[in-house]
Amino acid sequence: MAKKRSKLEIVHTILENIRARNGKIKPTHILYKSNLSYQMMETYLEELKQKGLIAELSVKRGKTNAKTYAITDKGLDYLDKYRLITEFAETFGLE
Amino acid sequence: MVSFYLVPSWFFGFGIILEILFALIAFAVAVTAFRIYKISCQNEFRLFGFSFASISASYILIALINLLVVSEIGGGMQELSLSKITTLSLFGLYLHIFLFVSGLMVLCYTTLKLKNSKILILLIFMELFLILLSGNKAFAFFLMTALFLSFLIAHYASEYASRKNLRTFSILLSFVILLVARGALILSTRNYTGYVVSHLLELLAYSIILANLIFLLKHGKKKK
Repeated sequence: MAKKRSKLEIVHTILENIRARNGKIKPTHILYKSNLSYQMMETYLEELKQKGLIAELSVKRGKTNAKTYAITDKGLDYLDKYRLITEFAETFGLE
Repeated sequence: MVSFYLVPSWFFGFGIILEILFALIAFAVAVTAFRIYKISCQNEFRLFGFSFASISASYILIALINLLVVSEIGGGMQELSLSKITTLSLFGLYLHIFLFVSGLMVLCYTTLKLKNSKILILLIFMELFLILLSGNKAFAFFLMTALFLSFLIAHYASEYASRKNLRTFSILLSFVILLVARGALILSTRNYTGYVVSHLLELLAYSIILANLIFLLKHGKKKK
């Protein structure tokens, strides 16, 4: 059985996917790339938005406004220091 | 006379230096945890930082108490006696106990992934009552720290069993040593060897924690 992903891993996957798409991504892409349910994805995106790791943008497509998410500097810093974060969590049993 | 602990005179200064060293190591762990909280915004890192900051402050307090309050009783021994100290020093000693136990309590709360903050408030009140109402403060202090350290040991043992990570094992080992050190400290109310042994064991435990921290800070800079 596959190991349950930790919260830190899920956040990393979401942010890494946004960065891989030049820093901006549509929620549908996050959904299939991060392998989360729609509800879980919404919860994570809301939390990441509140914590300033991502920003929600509204991009005009024809007559409608499409929602996209962009990674912030704080989000890039998270990716940069991800190894330190996970190793600290693993060593001190915080995961 | 109510003796909190006996200290051999030859070890007195060294003991204070060790306590300051433990405070610095605990503070370094707290600062790293706060730094990680700032990057990750995950609350468990902040709580972890608070727990080590609290432990660090408790060591500073006991170093100050030792420096200012411990009195010579002859025979090459010094003593921290509860019947001799002033109200202010007594308050400092109780604060030291409170900060140390609270640090371990928050550490348990964080590592056991409890989410209800009411549990933490309840535990803090229980701790306060135990400190204030207990007839034998030294024994109550030992009992509370032993209880929380045992829970932490059980947690790290299960973490090690599932991960087989050498660093998790070393943290488990350091908490086991801290528990033994606390056991030795309770003996120091009657025999000064307990004080020396407990400090040396604590030095070993904090050295392991420091080695892990240095490894993390060096290794963690590399990108995954």
